[in-house]
Amino acid sequence: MKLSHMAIGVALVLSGCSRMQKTEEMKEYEAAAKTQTGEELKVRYPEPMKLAESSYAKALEAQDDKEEEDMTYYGHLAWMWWQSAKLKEDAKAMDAQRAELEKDTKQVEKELAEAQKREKLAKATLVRMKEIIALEGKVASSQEANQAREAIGEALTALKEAQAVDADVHAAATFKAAEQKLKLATDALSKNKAKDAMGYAIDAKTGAEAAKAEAQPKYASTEADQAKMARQKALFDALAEVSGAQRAMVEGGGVMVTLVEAFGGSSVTITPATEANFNKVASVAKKFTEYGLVIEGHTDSKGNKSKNLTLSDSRAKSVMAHLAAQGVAPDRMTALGKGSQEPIADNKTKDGRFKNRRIEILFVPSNK
Amino acid sequence: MRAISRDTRTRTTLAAVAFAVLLGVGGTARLAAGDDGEARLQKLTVDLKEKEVADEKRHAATTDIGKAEALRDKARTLVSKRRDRDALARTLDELEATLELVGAKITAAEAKAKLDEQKAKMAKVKAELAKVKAEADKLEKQQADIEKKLGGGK
Repeated sequence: MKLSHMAIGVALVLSGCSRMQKTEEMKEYEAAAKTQTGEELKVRYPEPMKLAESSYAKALEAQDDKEEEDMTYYGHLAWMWWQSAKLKEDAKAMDAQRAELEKDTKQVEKELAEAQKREKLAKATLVRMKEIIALEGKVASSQEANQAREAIGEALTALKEAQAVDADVHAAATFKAAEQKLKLATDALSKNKAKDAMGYAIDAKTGAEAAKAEAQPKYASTEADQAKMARQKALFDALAEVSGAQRAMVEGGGVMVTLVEAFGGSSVTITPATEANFNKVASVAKKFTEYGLVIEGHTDSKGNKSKNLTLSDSRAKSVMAHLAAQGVAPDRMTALGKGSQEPIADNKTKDGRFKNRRIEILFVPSNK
Repeated sequence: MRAISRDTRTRTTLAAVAFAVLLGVGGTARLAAGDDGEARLQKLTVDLKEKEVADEKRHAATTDIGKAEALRDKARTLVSKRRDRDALARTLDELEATLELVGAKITAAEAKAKLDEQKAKMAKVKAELAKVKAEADKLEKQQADIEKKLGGGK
Protein backbone atom coordinates (compact mmCIF):
# COMPACT_ATOMS: atom_id res chain seq x y z
CA MET A 1 0.00 0.00 0.00
CA LYS A 2 2.80 2.34 0.97
CA LEU A 3 4.71 1.40 -2.16
CA SER A 4 1.79 2.25 -4.43
CA HIS A 5 1.39 5.62 -2.73
CA MET A 6 5.04 6.31 -3.35
CA ALA A 7 4.73 5.34 -7.01
CA ILE A 8 1.78 7.69 -7.46
CA GLY A 9 3.75 10.42 -5.73
CA VAL A 10 6.77 9.93 -7.97
CA ALA A 11 4.54 9.92 -11.05
CA LEU A 12 2.91 13.14 -9.95
CA VAL A 13 6.27 14.79 -9.35
CA LEU A 14 7.57 13.61 -12.70
CA SER A 15 4.51 14.79 -14.54
CA GLY A 16 4.83 18.13 -12.77
CA CYS A 17 8.42 18.47 -13.94
CA SER A 18 7.93 17.40 -17.58
CA ARG A 19 7.27 20.12 -20.19
CA MET A 20 4.08 20.14 -22.18
CA GLN A 21 4.45 18.97 -25.75
CA LYS A 22 4.38 21.68 -28.39
CA THR A 23 1.45 21.53 -30.80
CA GLU A 24 2.01 20.43 -34.39
CA GLU A 25 1.39 23.99 -35.56
CA MET A 26 4.09 25.28 -33.19
CA LYS A 27 6.55 22.68 -34.43
CA GLU A 28 5.78 23.54 -38.03
CA TYR A 29 6.19 27.26 -37.43
CA GLU A 30 9.40 26.78 -35.42
CA ALA A 31 11.01 24.64 -38.13
CA ALA A 32 10.00 27.04 -40.91
CA ALA A 33 11.09 30.19 -39.08
CA LYS A 34 14.68 28.93 -38.84
CA THR A 35 15.06 28.40 -42.57
CA GLN A 36 16.38 30.85 -45.13
CA THR A 37 12.83 31.30 -46.45
CA GLY A 38 11.68 32.10 -42.93
CA GLU A 39 14.32 34.83 -42.67
CA GLU A 40 13.32 36.23 -46.06
CA LEU A 41 9.67 36.32 -45.02
CA LYS A 42 10.63 38.49 -42.06
CA VAL A 43 12.09 41.07 -44.43
CA ARG A 44 9.30 40.93 -47.00
CA TYR A 45 6.33 40.71 -44.63
CA PRO A 46 7.60 42.36 -41.46
CA GLU A 47 4.23 43.04 -39.87
CA PRO A 48 2.57 39.61 -40.03
CA MET A 49 5.90 37.96 -39.24
CA LYS A 50 6.33 40.21 -36.21
CA LEU A 51 2.88 39.15 -35.04
CA ALA A 52 3.80 35.51 -35.66
CA GLU A 53 6.98 35.92 -33.59
CA SER A 54 5.27 37.65 -30.69
CA SER A 55 2.45 35.09 -30.68
CA TYR A 56 4.98 32.30 -30.70
CA ALA A 57 6.87 33.85 -27.78
CA LYS A 58 3.60 33.90 -25.83
CA ALA A 59 2.96 30.27 -26.79
CA LEU A 60 6.37 29.33 -25.36
CA GLU A 61 5.64 31.35 -22.24
CA ALA A 62 2.36 29.47 -21.86
CA GLN A 63 4.21 26.20 -22.36
CA ASP A 64 6.51 27.11 -19.48
CA ASP A 65 3.53 28.07 -17.35
CA LYS A 66 1.80 24.81 -18.35
CA GLU A 67 -1.20 26.69 -19.66
CA GLU A 68 -2.16 24.33 -22.44
CA GLU A 69 -5.12 26.29 -23.72
CA ASP A 70 -3.04 29.48 -24.02
CA MET A 71 -0.18 27.62 -25.64
CA THR A 72 -2.49 26.12 -28.28
CA TYR A 73 -4.17 29.48 -28.86
CA TYR A 74 -0.99 31.50 -29.33
CA GLY A 75 0.66 28.68 -31.27
CA HIS A 76 -2.30 28.74 -33.64
CA LEU A 77 -2.10 32.53 -34.02
CA ALA A 78 1.64 32.32 -34.78
CA TRP A 79 0.98 29.61 -37.35
CA MET A 80 -1.78 31.59 -39.05
CA TRP A 81 0.28 34.79 -39.36
CA TRP A 82 3.24 32.83 -40.69
CA GLN A 83 1.08 30.84 -43.12
CA SER A 84 -0.44 34.06 -44.43
CA ALA A 85 3.00 35.51 -45.17
CA LYS A 86 4.12 32.25 -46.72
CA LEU A 87 1.05 32.01 -48.94
CA LYS A 88 1.51 35.60 -50.11
CA GLU A 89 5.10 34.82 -50.97
CA ASP A 90 4.00 31.68 -52.84
CA ALA A 91 1.49 33.80 -54.76
CA LYS A 92 4.21 36.30 -55.65
CA ALA A 93 6.46 33.49 -56.91
CA MET A 94 3.62 32.07 -58.99
CA ASP A 95 2.92 35.51 -60.48
CA ALA A 96 6.59 35.85 -61.43
CA GLN A 97 6.54 32.37 -62.96
CA ARG A 98 3.42 33.27 -64.93
CA ALA A 99 5.01 36.47 -66.21
CA GLU A 100 7.99 34.48 -67.50
CA LEU A 101 5.68 31.91 -69.01
CA GLU A 102 3.69 34.63 -70.77
CA LYS A 103 6.86 35.85 -72.46
CA ASP A 104 7.79 32.30 -73.47
CA THR A 105 4.28 31.74 -74.80
CA LYS A 106 4.58 34.87 -76.93
CA GLN A 107 7.81 33.51 -78.36
CA VAL A 108 6.17 30.17 -79.18
CA GLU A 109 3.24 32.03 -80.72
CA LYS A 110 5.71 33.80 -83.01
CA GLU A 111 7.19 30.45 -84.01
CA LEU A 112 3.67 29.21 -84.66
CA ALA A 113 2.95 32.19 -86.90
CA GLU A 114 6.13 31.41 -88.85
CA ALA A 115 5.17 27.76 -89.21
CA GLN A 116 1.65 28.73 -90.32
CA LYS A 117 3.17 30.97 -92.96
CA ARG A 118 5.36 28.12 -94.20
CA GLU A 119 2.35 25.82 -94.30
CA LYS A 120 0.26 28.35 -96.21
CA LEU A 121 3.02 28.98 -98.73
CA ALA A 122 3.67 25.29 -99.31
CA LYS A 123 -0.06 24.59 -99.67
CA ALA A 124 -0.57 27.34 -102.25
CA THR A 125 2.50 26.32 -104.24
CA LEU A 126 1.43 22.68 -104.19
CA VAL A 127 -2.02 23.49 -105.56
CA ARG A 128 -0.46 25.39 -108.46
CA MET A 129 2.06 22.64 -109.10
CA LYS A 130 -0.60 19.95 -109.09
CA GLU A 131 -2.50 21.82 -111.77
CA ILE A 132 0.59 21.77 -113.93
CA ILE A 133 1.28 18.10 -113.20
CA ALA A 134 -2.29 17.32 -114.22
CA LEU A 135 -1.47 18.64 -117.69
CA GLU A 136 1.12 15.93 -118.24
CA GLY A 137 -0.18 13.47 -120.74
CA LYS A 138 -2.95 15.80 -121.91
CA VAL A 139 -0.69 18.18 -123.73
CA ALA A 140 0.80 17.25 -127.04
CA SER A 141 4.55 17.20 -126.99
CA SER A 142 5.89 20.00 -129.13
CA GLN A 143 8.62 22.56 -128.84
CA GLU A 144 6.05 25.30 -128.33
CA ALA A 145 4.28 23.36 -125.59
CA ASN A 146 7.57 22.63 -123.89
CA GLN A 147 8.46 26.32 -123.93
CA ALA A 148 5.04 27.21 -122.46
CA ARG A 149 5.52 24.57 -119.77
CA GLU A 150 8.88 26.07 -118.92
CA ALA A 151 7.40 29.60 -118.77
CA ILE A 152 4.67 28.31 -116.44
CA GLY A 153 7.38 26.76 -114.20
CA GLU A 154 9.15 30.12 -114.07
CA ALA A 155 5.91 31.94 -113.21
CA LEU A 156 5.30 29.40 -110.49
CA THR A 157 8.70 30.05 -108.97
CA ALA A 158 8.16 33.80 -109.16
CA LEU A 159 4.83 33.46 -107.34
CA LYS A 160 6.43 31.31 -104.67
CA GLU A 161 9.15 33.92 -104.13
CA ALA A 162 6.59 36.70 -103.97
CA GLN A 163 4.54 34.84 -101.40
CA ALA A 164 7.66 34.25 -99.33
CA VAL A 165 7.77 38.01 -98.68
CA ASP A 166 4.04 38.03 -97.90
CA ALA A 167 3.08 39.55 -101.26
CA ASP A 168 -0.32 37.88 -100.87
CA VAL A 169 -0.80 40.20 -97.85
CA HIS A 170 1.26 43.33 -98.61
CA ALA A 171 0.52 43.43 -102.38
CA ALA A 172 -2.69 41.44 -102.43
CA ALA A 173 -4.22 42.82 -105.68
CA THR A 174 -1.06 42.50 -107.80
CA PHE A 175 -0.38 39.05 -106.42
CA LYS A 176 -3.93 37.86 -107.09
CA ALA A 177 -3.78 39.12 -110.69
CA ALA A 178 -0.54 37.20 -111.22
CA GLU A 179 -2.11 34.05 -109.77
CA GLN A 180 -5.04 34.39 -112.19
CA LYS A 181 -2.69 34.75 -115.14
CA LEU A 182 -0.98 31.54 -114.14
CA LYS A 183 -4.34 29.80 -113.97
CA LEU A 184 -5.16 31.07 -117.44
CA ALA A 185 -1.79 29.81 -118.65
CA THR A 186 -2.41 26.28 -117.35
CA ASP A 187 -5.96 26.30 -118.74
CA ALA A 188 -4.67 27.37 -122.16
CA LEU A 189 -1.97 24.71 -122.14
CA SER A 190 -4.50 22.02 -121.19
CA LYS A 191 -6.42 23.04 -124.33
CA ASN A 192 -3.21 22.74 -126.31
CA LYS A 193 -3.11 26.50 -126.89
CA ALA A 194 0.61 26.73 -126.25
CA LYS A 195 1.03 30.22 -127.62
CA ASP A 196 -1.68 31.67 -125.36
CA ALA A 197 -0.27 29.71 -122.45
CA MET A 198 3.14 31.20 -123.09
CA GLY A 199 1.72 34.75 -123.06
CA TYR A 200 -0.22 34.24 -119.85
CA ALA A 201 2.74 32.59 -118.16
CA ILE A 202 4.99 35.54 -118.99
CA ASP A 203 2.34 37.94 -117.62
CA ALA A 204 2.06 35.81 -114.48
CA LYS A 205 5.81 35.93 -113.94
CA THR A 206 5.94 39.69 -114.48
CA GLY A 207 2.99 40.21 -112.16
CA ALA A 208 4.53 38.03 -109.46
CA GLU A 209 7.79 39.96 -109.65
CA ALA A 210 5.89 43.25 -109.36
CA ALA A 211 4.00 41.93 -106.34
CA LYS A 212 7.29 40.88 -104.76
CA ALA A 213 8.81 44.32 -105.32
CA GLU A 214 5.71 45.98 -103.90
CA ALA A 215 5.66 43.78 -100.79
CA GLN A 216 9.39 43.82 -100.07
CA PRO A 217 9.64 47.14 -98.14
CA LYS A 218 6.68 46.32 -95.89
CA TYR A 219 7.98 42.84 -95.31
CA ALA A 220 11.47 44.15 -94.49
CA SER A 221 10.06 46.56 -91.97
CA THR A 222 8.11 43.76 -90.26
CA GLU A 223 11.22 41.64 -90.28
CA ALA A 224 13.22 44.46 -88.73
CA ASP A 225 10.60 44.85 -86.00
CA GLN A 226 10.74 41.16 -85.31
CA ALA A 227 14.53 41.22 -85.21
CA LYS A 228 14.40 44.12 -82.78
CA MET A 229 11.98 42.24 -80.57
CA ALA A 230 14.14 39.13 -80.68
CA ARG A 231 17.15 41.20 -79.67
CA GLN A 232 15.19 42.75 -76.81
CA LYS A 233 14.22 39.28 -75.61
CA ALA A 234 17.85 38.15 -75.86
CA LEU A 235 18.94 41.13 -73.75
CA PHE A 236 16.19 40.43 -71.24
CA ASP A 237 17.31 36.80 -70.96
CA ALA A 238 20.98 37.77 -70.68
CA LEU A 239 20.20 40.06 -67.75
CA ALA A 240 18.74 37.09 -65.85
CA GLU A 241 22.34 36.42 -64.79
CA VAL A 242 22.21 39.46 -62.53
CA SER A 243 21.02 37.71 -59.39
CA GLY A 244 18.32 39.33 -57.31
CA ALA A 245 17.65 42.00 -59.93
CA GLN A 246 14.19 42.76 -61.26
CA ARG A 247 13.91 42.86 -65.05
CA ALA A 248 11.24 44.32 -67.27
CA MET A 249 10.85 44.81 -70.99
CA VAL A 250 9.85 48.36 -71.80
CA GLU A 251 8.17 49.88 -74.83
CA GLY A 252 10.42 50.87 -77.69
CA GLY A 253 12.61 47.78 -77.40
CA GLY A 254 14.34 48.57 -74.10
CA VAL A 255 14.93 46.55 -70.97
CA MET A 256 15.06 47.86 -67.42
CA VAL A 257 17.02 46.17 -64.67
CA THR A 258 16.54 47.20 -61.04
CA LEU A 259 18.98 46.50 -58.24
CA VAL A 260 18.12 47.26 -54.61
CA GLU A 261 20.36 48.04 -51.65
CA ALA A 262 23.52 48.45 -53.69
CA PHE A 263 24.94 50.95 -51.20
CA GLY A 264 25.31 50.88 -47.43
CA GLY A 265 23.86 53.67 -45.26
CA SER A 266 24.50 56.98 -46.97
CA SER A 267 27.57 55.72 -48.81
CA VAL A 268 28.14 56.29 -52.51
CA THR A 269 30.42 53.31 -52.87
CA ILE A 270 28.92 50.12 -54.25
CA THR A 271 28.92 47.39 -51.60
CA PRO A 272 31.24 44.45 -52.29
CA ALA A 273 28.19 42.18 -52.14
CA THR A 274 26.56 43.84 -55.16
CA GLU A 275 29.73 44.60 -57.12
CA ALA A 276 29.52 41.25 -58.90
CA ASN A 277 26.01 42.09 -60.07
CA PHE A 278 27.16 45.35 -61.64
CA ASN A 279 30.02 43.47 -63.28
CA LYS A 280 27.44 41.18 -64.86
CA VAL A 281 25.45 44.19 -66.07
CA ALA A 282 28.67 45.52 -67.63
CA SER A 283 29.38 42.20 -69.27
CA VAL A 284 25.89 42.14 -70.82
CA ALA A 285 26.18 45.81 -71.89
CA LYS A 286 29.40 44.97 -73.74
CA LYS A 287 27.58 42.27 -75.70
CA PHE A 288 24.63 44.50 -76.57
CA THR A 289 26.48 47.50 -77.92
CA GLU A 290 23.48 48.82 -79.85
CA TYR A 291 21.91 49.85 -76.52
CA GLY A 292 22.57 53.02 -74.55
CA LEU A 293 22.34 52.91 -70.75
CA VAL A 294 20.39 55.33 -68.58
CA ILE A 295 21.37 54.86 -64.93
CA GLU A 296 18.99 56.25 -62.34
CA GLY A 297 19.54 56.45 -58.59
CA HIS A 298 16.52 56.36 -56.24
CA THR A 299 16.20 56.65 -52.47
CA ASP A 300 13.41 56.05 -49.97
CA SER A 301 11.59 59.02 -48.46
CA LYS A 302 13.50 59.07 -45.18
CA GLY A 303 15.54 62.19 -44.54
CA ASN A 304 15.97 65.46 -46.37
CA LYS A 305 14.61 65.60 -49.94
CA SER A 306 17.43 67.59 -51.47
CA LYS A 307 20.07 65.49 -49.71
CA ASN A 308 18.36 62.38 -51.08
CA LEU A 309 18.46 63.86 -54.55
CA THR A 310 22.18 64.59 -54.28
CA LEU A 311 22.84 61.16 -52.81
CA SER A 312 20.92 59.37 -55.56
CA ASP A 313 22.77 61.38 -58.21
CA SER A 314 26.15 60.51 -56.71
CA ARG A 315 25.17 56.87 -56.53
CA ALA A 316 24.04 56.79 -60.16
CA LYS A 317 27.37 58.36 -61.14
CA SER A 318 29.23 55.86 -59.00
CA VAL A 319 27.50 53.00 -60.86
CA MET A 320 28.33 54.65 -64.20
CA ALA A 321 32.00 54.94 -63.19
CA HIS A 322 32.01 51.31 -62.13
CA LEU A 323 30.53 50.15 -65.44
CA ALA A 324 33.00 52.33 -67.33
CA ALA A 325 35.85 50.74 -65.36
CA GLN A 326 34.48 47.38 -66.48
CA GLY A 327 34.80 48.44 -70.11
CA VAL A 328 31.43 49.96 -71.00
CA ALA A 329 32.00 53.00 -73.22
CA PRO A 330 31.17 56.16 -71.19
CA ASP A 331 29.52 57.81 -74.19
CA ARG A 332 26.84 55.12 -74.11
CA MET A 333 25.85 56.01 -70.56
CA THR A 334 23.90 58.72 -68.75
CA ALA A 335 23.57 58.93 -64.97
CA LEU A 336 21.00 60.88 -62.99
CA GLY A 337 19.55 60.98 -59.50
CA LYS A 338 15.83 60.99 -58.82
CA GLY A 339 15.94 61.15 -55.02
CA SER A 340 12.73 59.94 -53.43
CA GLN A 341 10.37 61.42 -56.04
CA GLU A 342 9.61 58.21 -57.92
CA PRO A 343 8.82 55.52 -55.34
CA ILE A 344 7.73 52.10 -56.56
CA ALA A 345 6.57 50.88 -53.15
CA ASP A 346 5.02 52.19 -49.95
CA ASN A 347 7.56 54.24 -48.00
CA LYS A 348 5.59 53.64 -44.80
CA THR A 349 6.72 50.02 -44.60
CA LYS A 350 10.22 48.61 -44.15
CA ASP A 351 9.75 46.35 -47.15
CA GLY A 352 8.54 49.28 -49.25
CA ARG A 353 11.52 51.46 -48.32
CA PHE A 354 13.82 48.54 -49.12
CA LYS A 355 12.35 48.37 -52.63
CA ASN A 356 12.60 52.11 -53.12
CA ARG A 357 16.34 52.29 -52.38
CA ARG A 358 17.34 51.20 -55.83
CA ILE A 359 19.39 51.70 -58.95
CA GLU A 360 17.53 51.39 -62.25
CA ILE A 361 19.50 50.76 -65.40
CA LEU A 362 17.53 51.24 -68.58
CA PHE A 363 18.94 49.70 -71.75
CA VAL A 364 17.65 51.88 -74.58
CA PRO A 365 18.13 50.88 -78.23
CA SER A 366 20.16 53.62 -79.86
CA ASN A 367 19.46 54.77 -83.42
CA LYS A 368 23.11 54.85 -84.41
CA MET B 1 -1.76 45.58 -38.14
CA ARG B 2 -2.18 45.54 -34.40
CA ALA B 3 -0.30 44.03 -31.53
CA ILE B 4 -1.43 40.98 -29.62
CA SER B 5 -4.08 41.55 -27.00
CA ARG B 6 -2.17 39.85 -24.25
CA ASP B 7 0.07 42.90 -24.21
CA THR B 8 -2.90 44.92 -23.23
CA ARG B 9 -3.79 42.92 -20.19
CA THR B 10 -1.23 44.76 -18.14
CA ARG B 11 -2.48 48.13 -19.32
CA THR B 12 -5.67 48.20 -17.37
CA THR B 13 -5.26 51.29 -15.31
CA LEU B 14 -6.77 54.50 -16.48
CA ALA B 15 -3.41 56.20 -16.14
CA ALA B 16 -1.75 53.78 -18.51
CA VAL B 17 -4.51 54.16 -21.05
CA ALA B 18 -4.39 57.94 -20.80
CA PHE B 19 -0.63 57.85 -21.20
CA ALA B 20 -0.92 55.69 -24.29
CA VAL B 21 -3.52 58.00 -25.81
CA LEU B 22 -1.40 61.03 -25.02
CA LEU B 23 1.53 59.45 -26.75
CA GLY B 24 -0.59 58.66 -29.72
CA VAL B 25 -0.14 54.93 -29.34
CA GLY B 26 -3.72 54.29 -28.35
CA GLY B 27 -4.11 51.95 -31.32
CA THR B 28 -2.18 49.26 -29.53
CA ALA B 29 -4.38 49.44 -26.46
CA ARG B 30 -7.15 47.48 -28.06
CA LEU B 31 -9.81 47.26 -25.45
CA ALA B 32 -9.23 50.36 -23.46
CA ALA B 33 -12.91 51.02 -23.84
CA GLY B 34 -15.78 48.71 -24.73
CA ASP B 35 -16.39 50.63 -27.95
CA ASP B 36 -12.94 49.76 -29.26
CA GLY B 37 -13.92 46.11 -29.33
CA GLU B 38 -17.16 46.93 -31.11
CA ALA B 39 -15.42 49.11 -33.66
CA ARG B 40 -12.83 46.47 -34.30
CA LEU B 41 -15.50 43.81 -34.65
CA GLN B 42 -17.35 45.99 -37.12
CA LYS B 43 -14.23 46.48 -39.19
CA LEU B 44 -13.46 42.77 -39.17
CA THR B 45 -17.06 41.95 -40.06
CA VAL B 46 -16.79 44.15 -43.14
CA ASP B 47 -13.46 42.53 -43.95
CA LEU B 48 -15.04 39.09 -43.61
CA LYS B 49 -17.88 40.03 -45.94
CA GLU B 50 -15.38 41.27 -48.54
CA LYS B 51 -13.41 38.05 -48.29
CA GLU B 52 -16.59 35.97 -48.64
CA VAL B 53 -17.36 37.81 -51.87
CA ALA B 54 -13.76 37.48 -53.08
CA ASP B 55 -13.85 33.74 -52.48
CA GLU B 56 -17.10 33.13 -54.31
CA LYS B 57 -15.30 32.34 -57.54
CA ARG B 58 -12.71 29.81 -56.38
CA HIS B 59 -13.81 28.66 -52.91
CA ALA B 60 -10.20 28.54 -51.80
CA ALA B 61 -10.84 29.30 -48.14
CA THR B 62 -14.30 27.92 -47.40
CA THR B 63 -13.26 26.19 -44.17
CA ASP B 64 -11.41 29.21 -42.83
CA ILE B 65 -14.29 31.49 -43.75
CA GLY B 66 -16.55 29.16 -41.74
CA LYS B 67 -14.15 29.47 -38.79
CA ALA B 68 -14.09 33.23 -39.17
CA GLU B 69 -17.89 33.35 -39.17
CA ALA B 70 -17.97 31.32 -35.96
CA LEU B 71 -15.41 33.67 -34.39
CA ARG B 72 -17.39 36.70 -35.51
CA ASP B 73 -20.55 35.26 -33.94
CA LYS B 74 -18.67 34.51 -30.74
CA ALA B 75 -17.30 38.05 -30.69
CA ARG B 76 -20.80 39.47 -31.26
CA THR B 77 -22.07 37.55 -28.23
CA LEU B 78 -19.17 38.77 -26.11
CA VAL B 79 -19.71 42.37 -27.22
CA SER B 80 -23.41 42.21 -26.43
CA LYS B 81 -22.73 40.80 -22.97
CA ARG B 82 -20.21 43.60 -22.35
CA ARG B 83 -18.05 41.45 -20.10
CA ASP B 84 -14.94 39.35 -20.34
CA ARG B 85 -12.95 41.82 -22.38
CA ASP B 86 -9.98 39.53 -22.53
CA ALA B 87 -12.03 36.78 -24.18
CA LEU B 88 -13.34 39.32 -26.67
CA ALA B 89 -9.86 40.60 -27.46
CA ARG B 90 -8.57 37.07 -27.95
CA THR B 91 -11.49 36.20 -30.19
CA LEU B 92 -10.91 39.32 -32.27
CA ASP B 93 -7.18 38.59 -32.52
CA GLU B 94 -7.98 35.12 -33.77
CA LEU B 95 -10.57 36.49 -36.16
CA GLU B 96 -8.07 39.00 -37.52
CA ALA B 97 -5.41 36.34 -38.05
CA THR B 98 -7.97 34.00 -39.64
CA LEU B 99 -9.06 36.72 -42.04
CA GLU B 100 -5.45 37.40 -42.97
CA LEU B 101 -5.07 33.71 -43.72
CA VAL B 102 -8.30 33.70 -45.74
CA GLY B 103 -7.01 36.66 -47.78
CA ALA B 104 -3.67 34.98 -48.38
CA LYS B 105 -5.36 31.74 -49.45
CA ILE B 106 -7.56 33.61 -51.90
CA THR B 107 -4.51 35.46 -53.31
CA ALA B 108 -2.53 32.24 -53.64
CA ALA B 109 -5.46 30.41 -55.27
CA GLU B 110 -5.89 33.27 -57.72
CA ALA B 111 -2.19 33.23 -58.60
CA LYS B 112 -2.24 29.46 -59.02
CA ALA B 113 -5.32 29.54 -61.24
CA LYS B 114 -3.75 32.20 -63.47
CA LEU B 115 -0.50 30.26 -63.63
CA ASP B 116 -2.35 27.04 -64.53
CA GLU B 117 -4.28 28.93 -67.18
CA GLN B 118 -1.05 30.24 -68.70
CA LYS B 119 0.49 26.75 -68.56
CA ALA B 120 -2.54 25.36 -70.38
CA LYS B 121 -2.29 28.12 -72.98
CA MET B 122 1.40 27.39 -73.51
CA ALA B 123 0.71 23.65 -73.86
CA LYS B 124 -2.02 24.38 -76.42
CA VAL B 125 0.21 26.71 -78.47
CA LYS B 126 3.08 24.20 -78.34
CA ALA B 127 0.82 21.37 -79.51
CA GLU B 128 -0.50 23.55 -82.33
CA LEU B 129 3.06 24.49 -83.29
CA ALA B 130 4.12 20.83 -83.46
CA LYS B 131 1.08 20.03 -85.62
CA VAL B 132 1.57 22.95 -88.02
CA LYS B 133 5.32 22.35 -88.28
CA ALA B 134 4.76 18.70 -89.15
CA GLU B 135 2.16 19.66 -91.75
CA ALA B 136 4.46 22.33 -93.25
CA ASP B 137 7.35 19.84 -93.39
CA LYS B 138 5.12 17.31 -95.14
CA LEU B 139 3.87 19.84 -97.68
CA GLU B 140 7.35 21.17 -98.37
CA LYS B 141 8.56 17.64 -98.99
CA GLN B 142 5.70 17.03 -101.43
CA GLN B 143 6.54 20.31 -103.09
CA ALA B 144 10.20 19.31 -103.46
CA ASP B 145 9.17 15.97 -104.95
CA ILE B 146 6.93 17.64 -107.53
CA GLU B 147 9.62 20.19 -108.31
CA LYS B 148 11.94 17.31 -109.12
CA LYS B 149 9.27 15.80 -111.38
CA LEU B 150 8.63 19.08 -113.15
CA GLY B 151 12.33 19.59 -113.53
CA GLY B 152 13.90 23.01 -113.45
CA GLY B 153 11.68 24.18 -110.59
CA LYS B 154 13.51 25.87 -107.76
